[in-house]
Amino acid sequence: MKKIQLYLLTITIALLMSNCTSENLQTESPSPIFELTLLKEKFPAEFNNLNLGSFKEIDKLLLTRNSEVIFDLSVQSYDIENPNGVYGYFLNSSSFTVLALVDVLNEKITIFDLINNSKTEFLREKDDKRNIQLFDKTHNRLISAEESGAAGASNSCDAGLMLCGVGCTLATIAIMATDGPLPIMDVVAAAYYVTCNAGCIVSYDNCIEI
Amino acid sequence: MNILKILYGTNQAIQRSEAQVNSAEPAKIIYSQKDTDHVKSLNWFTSLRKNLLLTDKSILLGKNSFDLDSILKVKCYHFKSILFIKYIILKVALQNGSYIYIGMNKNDEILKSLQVDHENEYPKINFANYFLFVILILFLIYTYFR
Repeated sequence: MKKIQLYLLTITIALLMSNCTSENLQTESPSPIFELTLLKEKFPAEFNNLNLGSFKEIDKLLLTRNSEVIFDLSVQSYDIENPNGVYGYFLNSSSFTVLALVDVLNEKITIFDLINNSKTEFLREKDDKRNIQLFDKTHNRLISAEESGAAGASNSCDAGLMLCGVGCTLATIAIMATDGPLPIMDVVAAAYYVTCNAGCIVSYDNCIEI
Repeated sequence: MNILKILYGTNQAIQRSEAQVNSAEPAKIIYSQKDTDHVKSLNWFTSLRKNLLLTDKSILLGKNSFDLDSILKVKCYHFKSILFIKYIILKVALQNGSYIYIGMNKNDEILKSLQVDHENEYPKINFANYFLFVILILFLIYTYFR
C-alpha cells in the first residue's frame, strides 16, 4: 500500500513539474507569418522599421470607445519585442487582421488593419489602473481603452499564480511528509519549494506587476 | 551528509560540549508522553531540529541531557527515503514514563552504543489518509493547469 501511494505521489509531483515546463513551451507561439507577409506587402516602410526579435503570446487587448467595443481582440495576439521601444501586437480574428504598434517612447499606438489596408494613429497614455487612454490622432478625439481584458484576465492570472503556489506548498508538504523524520528532507523540501515557486513566477510572469 | 552537519552546526556543538562526544548526528526530535509504533506522522513538521551527541554517560539533545541510566528501552525503526537514504527513528523510553522520538540518518555507531533492542522493528505508518488527500489535491491542480 505504501509503495502504491509513494508511486502515485511521485507521478503526480512529476506531472506537476512537467506541467510547468510544458507551460513554458506553450508560450513559444508560432510566428504570425501570414500577418507579417501582409504587413510587408501593404506597409513596407513600417515592416522595415520593425525589429522582429522574438514573439511571445500576450493577453488579449480590448479597445473600447464610450463603452462601445472597437476591437475585441481576444482570439490570438503576439508581442514583438523591439529594442527601439516599439512593441507590436498582432491581433487576429476570423473577420479581420490587425497589427497594433505601440511606440512606448513617443506614447503612440498605430493600428494597421491589414485586411482593409487602413492605418490609424493614437496617442497613448497609461493610468494607474493599467488602462490605456488612446487619442485618435487622425480624427483628433480621445478614446478610452482597456488592456489585457481588464480585471477578468488579471483575476484569472492571479488565481492561476495562486493555485500554482498552493500546488508547490502541497507538494512540499508531501515531500516532507514522506520522509518527515529524515533531517535532510527539510533541505530537499525547501529547495523544491523555491524551485517550484520560481517556475510559477516564470510561468505567470505576465501577471506580476512591479 | 556534510551539508546537514554544516546546517545543524554539529561540529560546533561537539566543540561546545564539555564531555567527550563519541558520536554525533543531526536529528529531529519529538518529546511525547505517548507510546506508539505509529512513528511516522505529520508531527515531524514541528519537531525540534537539534544535534544528538552521544557521550559515555549521556545523550545530549540540544540543551537537554539524558543519562544513559535513565533510559529503559530503545526501539529502532528502519526506513529508506525516497532519495534512497537509509534513516532510522529511535523511540527512547525513559524511566519517568515519557518518550523521545528521534529521527536521523542511520548511524551504526550510535545504535551499537545505545544497545538497541529491536534493530529491525517493523514500522506502522499512520498517514495513509494524508497521502491520499495530498495526491488528490495535486491531481486536481494538475488537471486544472493542463
